[in-house]
Amino acid sequence: MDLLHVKIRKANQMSKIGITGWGWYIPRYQLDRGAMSSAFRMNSGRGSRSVAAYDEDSMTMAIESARRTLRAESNINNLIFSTTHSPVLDKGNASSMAAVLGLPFQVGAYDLGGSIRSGFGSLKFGLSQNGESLVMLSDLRYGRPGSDDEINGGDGAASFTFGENPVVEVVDVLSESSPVMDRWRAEGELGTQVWDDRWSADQQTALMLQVVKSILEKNSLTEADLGSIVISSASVRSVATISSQVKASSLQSSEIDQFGFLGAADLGVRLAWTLENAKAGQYILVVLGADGADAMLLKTTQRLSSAQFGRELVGTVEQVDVPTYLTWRGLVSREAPRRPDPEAPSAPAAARNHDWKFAFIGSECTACGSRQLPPQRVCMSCGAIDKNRTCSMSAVKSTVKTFTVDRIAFSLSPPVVVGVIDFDGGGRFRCQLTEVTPDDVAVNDRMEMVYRLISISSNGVRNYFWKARPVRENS
Amino acid sequence: MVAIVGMGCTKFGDHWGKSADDLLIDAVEEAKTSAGVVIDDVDAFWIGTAVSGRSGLTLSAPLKIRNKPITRVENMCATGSEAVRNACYAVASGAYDVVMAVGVEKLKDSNMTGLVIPSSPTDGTTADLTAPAMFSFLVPAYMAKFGVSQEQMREVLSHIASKNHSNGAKNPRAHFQRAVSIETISKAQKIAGALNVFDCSGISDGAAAAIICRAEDAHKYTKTPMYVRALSLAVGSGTGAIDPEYDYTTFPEVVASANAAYAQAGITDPASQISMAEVHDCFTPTELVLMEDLGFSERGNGWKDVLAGRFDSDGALPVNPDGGLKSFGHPIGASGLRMLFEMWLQFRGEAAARQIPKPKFGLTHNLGGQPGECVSFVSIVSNSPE
Repeated sequence: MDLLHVKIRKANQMSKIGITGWGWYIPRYQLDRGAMSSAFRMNSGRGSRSVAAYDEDSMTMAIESARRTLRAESNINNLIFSTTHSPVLDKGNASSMAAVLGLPFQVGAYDLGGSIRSGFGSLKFGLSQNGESLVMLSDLRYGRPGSDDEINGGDGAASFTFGENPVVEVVDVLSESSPVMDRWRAEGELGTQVWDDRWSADQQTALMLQVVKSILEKNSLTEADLGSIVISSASVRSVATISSQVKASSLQSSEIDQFGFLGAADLGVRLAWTLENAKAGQYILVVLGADGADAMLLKTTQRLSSAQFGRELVGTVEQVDVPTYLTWRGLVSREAPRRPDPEAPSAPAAARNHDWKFAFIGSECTACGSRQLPPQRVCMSCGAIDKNRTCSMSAVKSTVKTFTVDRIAFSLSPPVVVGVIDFDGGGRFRCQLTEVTPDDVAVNDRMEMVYRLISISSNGVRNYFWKARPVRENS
Repeated sequence: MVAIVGMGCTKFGDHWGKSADDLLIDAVEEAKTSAGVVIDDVDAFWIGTAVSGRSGLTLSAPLKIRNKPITRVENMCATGSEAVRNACYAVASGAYDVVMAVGVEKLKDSNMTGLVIPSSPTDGTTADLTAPAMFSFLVPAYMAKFGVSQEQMREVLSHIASKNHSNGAKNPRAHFQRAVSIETISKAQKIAGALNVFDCSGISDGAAAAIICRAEDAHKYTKTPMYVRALSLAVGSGTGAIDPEYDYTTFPEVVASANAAYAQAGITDPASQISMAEVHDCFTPTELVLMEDLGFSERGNGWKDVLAGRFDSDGALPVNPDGGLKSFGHPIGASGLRMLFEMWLQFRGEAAARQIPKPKFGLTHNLGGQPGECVSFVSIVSNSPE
């Protein structure tokens, strides 16, 4: 072992920043690939792919994964969001997400996205910052019917926190970059186009194998030393080749394959899933094929045994049919009811009410204890004025008092189901219910709050807010 | 005390050929003729409209009224009554001697399904609901609290709708003049919760007007004035959607306004003393709940009284004898005045096929808003000042 390697290893061990937490989120809905192929008379793969609902997008999924990652003691300095399907450009999503997650204003919030490789870059960013970082990787993968993105893609998100005293150490990171044009999508275009996959895979596979070899050598390890491996690539062919050539590939969980390739979130969800099942003191190798190849060598610490992180288990999965999928992704525009177009939320009103608008923070009267959502200056129970404290309600469960199904109101996926929900410990709110079938809702059903897209106004403003969805055993 | 000494009311319906201006002119003409006055005789005006005009110009422009005091009022669907209420207090105070209250709505020029209430910019956090959905919350709440099954509830709601359609069939001014069977009503496709299209009042155009003076001056205008024995308005604090104490089986605002009106008129047992009532049947469950809130039925028993025919046209307490919002129609600004117009015809013996024998006290109830956040108006009228 020469001096150079010793020095590098020491430097890595001295780095105190590593992974302190993780979580992921996969939407409840899935599309059968066979159903898509019959609809369009094409060949497509077997199995299913995960599908974000009409009221979800890369931002809402990232938030759900982050809610399952952050802990009470988290003290986030920087928040990074990566996706290849950003809901907005110019203005960042990350600053809104920081508000939704109830983080203080004194954080840096950055969108570092656009390409599949952005996810890996964001993980490196998290590693490089002093203090704690929250890295959120999220993606929607879709395109023209029959496209690679649609057939092999999937929707989902994963989050990681970085900080001192890590549960998982990052031992080394190694990258090879390549300008080959294996895929491209211009801004505003629907779906990514790809060059001949045989050529792309040939280019990419070589680089992926290279980084695997190099990082192991550099750290004086062999494949036999690895406890798990994560292989992520948009190219099914690349993944297959790597899997056959890297013996350690057998360590990869195949269960994760059921969702499809998750774009910028893919390596994140795979890694989080792997960590969930890992043991202390194991090496995990993450390999990404995108714009070249990246490798990250991780080692779980003893802290793993006591770590408890939430994630969205895929319990009961609901199949959606092809017309629903196409409508949800905006590939088909259905006739709307003769109702007014949804209004954009007033930016000044949203700013004034930012605690409520973003973080679902209500008020509690300090004179009589009455909880009010939205916050009220004049207490509805005792009339006290401006005698209240904030009351964070996003994690509080509720019970359905009454509900209705509105078959005329505007919705991205009618009919609208609205419930009057009474919160544990006090407070009532009336909101849309999501992930419900109208016929299944009943008085006394238990609900939890989720952050969703409410509507898109005619001038393109996306209005987000909190909805309630049924509490399921595996949430 | 004040009295209504002249009234007019257009037919309500899909008036493709008439503008709001046209409807106003027609209603005002009929009221003037009825009281034998001209515009110059009228000292002040209140024009009620929710969405069909702003400022007093709504009335002065089509009628070419010059430099008179004209106030445009709005209190959601209780707008028509709001116009009457303000006009009544104006003559009661002595500020004016003869006043006119007018209500109009032109809803059919818009291309919308259902009612659209314009709103100011918000932060986008309020759930967007149509009117039928807002009132549909009453149904499961009432069923659960009073042990009414789904089948029974459907029969109750259909009975109310069928009654109002039968009444409207006898009314040449009604939007819908065709009786509809309970069976047809029950089978219609749902549009919001348990409610189908027959559970919802019509979207209509129309106008109505009333000429009002102090009771001691009434004889100058008519031998058969209608005396206003009570006026009340209760505006809730709008907290039903955020207060777990609200159970969606009642309108506390209605109870408050009814009690205030009964006290003013000296009514101690409304269930037996009220001869006839026009109530705000925007949706069938609303009428059901109102029977209890207005004291016509015991709490929890309204549904049984409905099924027993108590509120039918030949029942002990006819409710909505003119067809109600349901089949007469609901041009928002005019409805409160339309209710008084039926009372007016009934007291004068001019209700023809709908005539109720010798009515003594009539009640009009007008509601704006939705369960949990509403305004409620009640008036009590009679053909005698005692």
